[in-house]
Amino acid sequence: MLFMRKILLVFIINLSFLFLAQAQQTVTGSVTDAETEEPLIGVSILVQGTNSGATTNVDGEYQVEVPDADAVLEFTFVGFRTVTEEVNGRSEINVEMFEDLQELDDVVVVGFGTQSRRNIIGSVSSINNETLTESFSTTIDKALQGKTAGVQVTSTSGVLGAPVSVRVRGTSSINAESQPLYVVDGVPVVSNELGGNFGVGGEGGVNPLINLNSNDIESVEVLKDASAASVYGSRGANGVVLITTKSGVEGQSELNINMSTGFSNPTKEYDLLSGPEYIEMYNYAYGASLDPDNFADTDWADIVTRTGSVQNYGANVSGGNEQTQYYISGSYSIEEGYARPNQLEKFNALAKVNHKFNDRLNVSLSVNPSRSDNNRIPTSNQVSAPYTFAALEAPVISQFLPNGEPNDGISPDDPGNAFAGFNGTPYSNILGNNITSVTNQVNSNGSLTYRFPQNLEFNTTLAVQYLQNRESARYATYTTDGYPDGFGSAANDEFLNYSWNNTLTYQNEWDEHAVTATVGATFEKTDQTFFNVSGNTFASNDLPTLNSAAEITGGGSFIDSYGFQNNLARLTYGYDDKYLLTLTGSYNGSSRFPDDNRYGFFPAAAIGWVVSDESFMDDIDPISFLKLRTSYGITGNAGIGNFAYLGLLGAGGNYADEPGLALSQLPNEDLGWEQSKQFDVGLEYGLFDGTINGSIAYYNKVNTDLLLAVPVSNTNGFTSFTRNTGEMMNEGFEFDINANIINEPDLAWTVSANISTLRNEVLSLPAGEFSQGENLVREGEPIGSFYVREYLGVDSENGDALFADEDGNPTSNYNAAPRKILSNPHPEFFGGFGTNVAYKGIDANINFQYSYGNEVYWADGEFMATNLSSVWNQQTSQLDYWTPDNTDASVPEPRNPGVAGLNGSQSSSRYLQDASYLRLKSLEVGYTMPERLVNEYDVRVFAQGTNLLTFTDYEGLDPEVTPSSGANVTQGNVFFQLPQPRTLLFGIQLGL
Amino acid sequence: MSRLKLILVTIVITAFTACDVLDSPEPQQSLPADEGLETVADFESALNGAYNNVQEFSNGDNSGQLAFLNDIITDDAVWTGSFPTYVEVSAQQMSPSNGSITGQWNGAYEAINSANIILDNLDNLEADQAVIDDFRGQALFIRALEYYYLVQYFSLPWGATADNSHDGVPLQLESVTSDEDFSNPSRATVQEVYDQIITDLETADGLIQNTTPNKATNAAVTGLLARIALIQGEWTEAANYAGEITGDNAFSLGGSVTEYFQSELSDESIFEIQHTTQDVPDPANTSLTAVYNPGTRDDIQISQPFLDATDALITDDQQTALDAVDQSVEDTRVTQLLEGTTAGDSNSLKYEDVVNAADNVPIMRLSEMMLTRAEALAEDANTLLDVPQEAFDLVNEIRTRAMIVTDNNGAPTDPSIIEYDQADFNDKEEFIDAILLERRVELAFEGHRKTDLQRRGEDVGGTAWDAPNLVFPIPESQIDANDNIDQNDGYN
Repeated sequence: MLFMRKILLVFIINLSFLFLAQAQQTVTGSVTDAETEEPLIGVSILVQGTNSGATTNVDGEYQVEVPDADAVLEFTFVGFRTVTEEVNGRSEINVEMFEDLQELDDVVVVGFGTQSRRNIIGSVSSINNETLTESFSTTIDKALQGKTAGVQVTSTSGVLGAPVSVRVRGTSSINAESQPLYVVDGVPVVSNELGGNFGVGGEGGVNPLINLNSNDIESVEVLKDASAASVYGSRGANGVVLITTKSGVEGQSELNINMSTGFSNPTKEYDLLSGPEYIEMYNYAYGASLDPDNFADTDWADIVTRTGSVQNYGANVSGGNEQTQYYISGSYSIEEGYARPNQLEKFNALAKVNHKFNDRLNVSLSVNPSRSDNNRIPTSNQVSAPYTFAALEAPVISQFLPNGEPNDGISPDDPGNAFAGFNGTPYSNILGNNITSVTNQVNSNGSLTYRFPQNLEFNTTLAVQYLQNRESARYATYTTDGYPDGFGSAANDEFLNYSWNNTLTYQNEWDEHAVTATVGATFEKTDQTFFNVSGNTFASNDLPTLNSAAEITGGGSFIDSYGFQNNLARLTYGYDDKYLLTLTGSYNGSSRFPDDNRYGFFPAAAIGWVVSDESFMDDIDPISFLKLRTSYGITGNAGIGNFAYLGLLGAGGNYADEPGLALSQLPNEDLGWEQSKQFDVGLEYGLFDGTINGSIAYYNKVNTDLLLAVPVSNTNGFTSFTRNTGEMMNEGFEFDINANIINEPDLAWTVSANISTLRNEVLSLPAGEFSQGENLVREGEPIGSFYVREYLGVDSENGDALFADEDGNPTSNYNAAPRKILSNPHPEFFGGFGTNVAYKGIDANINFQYSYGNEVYWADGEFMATNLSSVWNQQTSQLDYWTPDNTDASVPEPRNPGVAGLNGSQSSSRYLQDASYLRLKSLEVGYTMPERLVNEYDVRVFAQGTNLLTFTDYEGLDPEVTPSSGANVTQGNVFFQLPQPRTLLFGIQLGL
Repeated sequence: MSRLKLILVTIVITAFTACDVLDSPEPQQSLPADEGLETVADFESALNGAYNNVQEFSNGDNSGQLAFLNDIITDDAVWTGSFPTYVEVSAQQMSPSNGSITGQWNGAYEAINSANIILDNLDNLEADQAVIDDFRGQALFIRALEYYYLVQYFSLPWGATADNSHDGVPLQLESVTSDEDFSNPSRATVQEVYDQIITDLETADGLIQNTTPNKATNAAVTGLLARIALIQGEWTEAANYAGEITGDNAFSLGGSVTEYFQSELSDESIFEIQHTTQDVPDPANTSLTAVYNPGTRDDIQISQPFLDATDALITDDQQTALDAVDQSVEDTRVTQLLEGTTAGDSNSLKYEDVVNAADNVPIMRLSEMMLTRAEALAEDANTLLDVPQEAFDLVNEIRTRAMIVTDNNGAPTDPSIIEYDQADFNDKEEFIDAILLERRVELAFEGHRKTDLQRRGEDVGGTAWDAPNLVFPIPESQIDANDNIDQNDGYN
């Protein structure tokens, strides 16, 4: 706390400079848009060198008191270039403002405050609402994809509402959390994957950001470097995503309505063997002579997919007067996924009100209730997942039995059932599985701001996030998971997250000096309660709840909690608007660490230089703006289990209906914060009066004291012990460029692009290397490098699958082939590019995203590209198998594994693939009706396509995939994750 | 200063010093480890925790795997399901990263540590000596059982080298309760591992009060000693240990072959791992019910060689005799415990709880001890004529329970026609083969086949009994974490 006192002292010293009293006069006038000549509402007018000012009213008019005739007025407005006017004794000053193409004066949310884009010297990416809504995405995190450098967004599945993996500047941890911290309107929110609680069916998690309506979002800021993130020091190591919702602005009331509807399809489906092809391959492998005419020829994949549909409806009203502003919004959407019976229904409301009690006191309140009602399908790792099952189920199994009933996969009436791996069929599962996941969330946020006379502002914000996820699953008797008497389960998971943020901000400008200083204290506590029940044996498949279960087979409950406490301080100083300095520090505590290590200190410093404001730059016309910035600092990561430092006797290890306890965790009193030390240097530029602007950055981030589950000899009864050990580095270059090529009233054309490089390296791993499946963690290599046996193809002599032995020579002995690092899941570079065109009323935008050099371990192949090593259906690529007549084959000989052993279907580089891709992420065309047709209303119609085309050599369903949002080591190791939907929407937007 | 300002200043100061959110969170589902083992109730909970470790591997898999892996690696059964880890075992082509094998290894050492913690803390327990002895005996049995399975699966079999100096598994005999206790043991020899198992069991013998077969009993200790003596070819010991059980009237065969499988904790049972409807690890995937029962995953199919073996149970002479009196015989182990008699479409019905998959894992039952004693008595005899009648009686008791002889009207008649006596065999080896055949069918799919083949030096699914590819690889993660452990041959 000592340094906070020092900063307070700095405040007090500064306060003593403040007091000035002057004679006053009045200036009036109006402010208009130079292009449209419309009045501008809400322009702020500041009398330079003072704290007094005014804003324009609904007619664009203002009135301001100035201390003397030589005063200078500064007119600022978001999206417009700042105008300064010397009063020179005038009493009326009318001003025209020009749109600012560089957006330098944009106000950017930076965490516990805002800053102008021009003055930010940390690395902050800002994405506005328009950009976020260019493509259709069910959750807001997905909309960030390809939009900004350094932020890698990867889907875990095409299932509606699936979690999304977001990595800001690479993977920062090996075992601890790597997802960024999400902060909505200044309040950190619980953003864990929800649900997935059941033993049977194992539904995957739901993305908690599902409840945010993208139309209500004003902007999303990503804090990337240490200087920007260190105010959230304790949780900033993975970057911070600040989500700001819309607020009402003073002026005329506005009503906006938007509606859209459309349909969706999978971006890719597998080519699978037909019934006769399957039988032919089977006969070869097993030396059988089955007649394909005796069997069905079922296209399972076609049965479990459909054309999905999307409907969105939203409306908001906003407005207010000088005292009170409001924003009220409601939305409803319903999506039917292409994978039957996946459906997602969302309800969302947001009400915000801000009231200026007097010049000093401001209060605001926002309430954001929402609900999503999700008809889930099991995760792709479950055989009962419709598409996984459909891809694997032999085509010779019939959809219906001869008596017209759906085939249950067991009945002897279908000869194909001899090839069934499981009870149920993909079709009977669709009929009989009913899995719902309902997420209710209320985020409410009350805030009070008091301006003390001496440029000192106090803000206190109390926020409560209530988050509930209720899941239920019911499987009928004829399904894979319900056979033979039906199965059901239900679970309730509830989070209550309180946070209280308090800040004191001092802001002043005098002569060439500009100072903003903030100190703050935040308290956060999250409580989780969970309970579940499961049972079986139902009288009828029509009875949906557990009350009807004759036998309750399981149940339980648990309570969990954690707390964070954060003391923060930030000082920004500008000299002559050219030399900029930001010092940040936070002193953080987390309940997740033992008493002695509970607190960590996370400092950061950044300096910046607006080179373009130097006089020697005056003659270099093309360069209109140039800023150099660099920062260095430390942030922390506490993303481990809540009580990882305690020795624990775990309950629940019961036996024979008697309670049991077993040592579940060894004590570790030395556990402490994982640290991220990041160096960032960047350059922001504007050329030709801002026609082209962008940034270039380099970062080098070293994560130390990793919270690593260090492997120990399993003979100890434990397989790992968590210590702070090891170092990992991420470094990369980031380039963003925007070009406003044409900017005429009737024609505007912009182009934007970003590219990021990424290099990850495990620097130090004192405990030694370890692997998880195909992924390896080894010193000197990228995290999760693919460590597999090398597959060398087919022996043309005998059809054996060949692997590379110690010397690289072919061998058919799998175990004689050593594992080696062949590639890794990280892209060499990734990003996006796009363009916007507006001609008269027509607007269009097109966006691509890409990733290059990332490999994927395609575990689907171990089942469906195995030259028929078991009953599962195969990709058509497997038809080119070795036979004595086809020795130049690409696929090894099919053999009965029970007799001849496996022939190449084991884990190897046979299933390791380059997943580089280029995807046409979005294409949107809109038309705004001329005002003469629609009176005063704003009416725009549009058509929008998402994920329209994908260019890749990857054999799997979707190159853009990772196993889970929390995957660090196992990233890029996938199993039948559903591909992203290709969505086409048609919509209308009305503004009254 | 106005009152408003005073309030504001108070708010500001409060806001910066307010609440403590860091100390309040405490674990709610666990107890602090340092509260330790003190009372009898603590030890009871710890012992249940250790049994739970036996019941469920650390990766959540069901300990039914201990049984079915010993069968699918042989030619009795074949894994036709989708899990590649089990396909690998069935194909005798395992890889060190095999997750099921890793789970089994880790689970064993977890259970061993739970047992070691009990053993290391018993000196602090103040209670009746009988109570302390009971805890010690049960913990030693758990440790011995886990080492028994480890050495069966992860080492070349007994006898693969003349002095059994080949690699066994690491012996961890001290408890690990903090990171300071971590060690990196190397592999003990197979001889040393068996010696340790025998020492533990001999120490435990007689100490245990419990008599319910879902936990350790003195009979289970004796039975495991018998099984080990049989593996080691110590016939006299094997006969004596098994005889302690066959001679104990607490145990008796059930009235039918299905009774043991349809009831729990029957008089036929010596040790079984208990499952209840609320407590079955991974019921849907790795329970014995899930893998064997045709009504569930149906992953394991019965092979032709096994079906042929069931046909050989009636000797040609017996068949001739049956035909002569126009009688026929039905073996209920085929008609009631198998479904389908064509390879590839044949399943075991021993694990019948399709709804809950809560069938117990049968570790040891009376039939095994009867057949063990019969085999050991026969082996111990010099010639067929020296084989005591008891050996024939034991086998016959099992045969007549399983086989129903009927006359030409379908009415049951005297089954003695299918009983064995000395006259049925030319030498004692023929009789021993008959016992082994009986054992193969009687104890089928209960986790005995590979061990039985290896101890007799017979091929396992066409592979020599001591071939390295019948031995599980030491898990990759174990090799990575401990440089002192050598990998098994064929996996480097």
